[in-house]
Amino acid sequence: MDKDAVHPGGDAARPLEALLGLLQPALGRTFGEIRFWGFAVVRPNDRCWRLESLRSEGQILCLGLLDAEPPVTGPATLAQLWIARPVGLTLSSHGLTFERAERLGFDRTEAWPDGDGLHYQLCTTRGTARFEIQGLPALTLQA
Amino acid sequence: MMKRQMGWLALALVLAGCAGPRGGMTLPPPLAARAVVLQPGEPGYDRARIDAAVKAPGQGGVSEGVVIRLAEDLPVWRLWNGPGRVDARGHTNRLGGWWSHDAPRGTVQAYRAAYEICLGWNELRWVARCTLKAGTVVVVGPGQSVSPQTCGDGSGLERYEANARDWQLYLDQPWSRGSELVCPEESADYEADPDELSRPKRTS
Repeated sequence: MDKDAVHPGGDAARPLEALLGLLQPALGRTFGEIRFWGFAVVRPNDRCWRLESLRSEGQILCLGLLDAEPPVTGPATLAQLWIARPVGLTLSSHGLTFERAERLGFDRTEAWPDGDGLHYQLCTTRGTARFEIQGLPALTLQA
Repeated sequence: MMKRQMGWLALALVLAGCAGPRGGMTLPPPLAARAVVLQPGEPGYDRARIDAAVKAPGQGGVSEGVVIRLAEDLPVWRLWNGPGRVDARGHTNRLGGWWSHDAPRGTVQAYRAAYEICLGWNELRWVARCTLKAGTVVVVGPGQSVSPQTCGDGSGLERYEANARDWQLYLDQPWSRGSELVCPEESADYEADPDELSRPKRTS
């Protein structure tokens, strides 16, 4: 574990408003990896995303990510990464993680934990799949 | 006596400084002839982001990395989805972190396996040839394996083995590298024949 890591999320679910405040230091940071448990949502470090915005809708935390490369056409717009009922935030010099979540989504990919607590389901444009959680955090954003 | 010990210490330091890439890695000939290996602490080393390039087994990237500074221009290639695949936010994947120093050849399936690229990451339909200019600092290394879980393949069939032969180049955030990466207009790219990537796809 990164010695600089802080664990402001703790084990208990926090109100999302509090999480928004705790995530403020991550604004402006860039990430090359987006993972839902062990699944690489994008090819690791092929593209780069900058955390531009934070907001909540009910129990859903929305992270606005800006592709670091200017778009070929049109104005730059944010991609929304959403996390339903996120728990266990860790911020470190390498990135951020949430230990658990009820559901996560980015573009046309969604993932959620199975009832057994040992597996997660994944839905992509290629179909659905089921994998072991293997102790991995629900969300990893890594530089 | 002390003087002699200092002499041996100096010799050891010189030899250490002359050592090759970490872990006894030998650069492939096209790179060895055109690049200088950088050691940690040397100017430019940190900018290469070797920490982002080298990944654990099953995670993609490279299994071991060497930071090099190009002594002369180097042609590099990248396969991408093509100009017709613009995402909802107006981006193509023509530019990205991962490149090869060998011109693509063979079938698209063989290329995908050689460079460990999941189906969901890249369609590998078009070929771009760009130039890394002399002085550019990049990470190079043999490709790391990719697991079915990393690819999101529930059947367990989509997996890629580590490949020591076909090295990859990692250029961190190429769109911010200014004049270090020079790419022609997209019209210079070609849609590749999936059976032989070195030639354009025949139009019917």
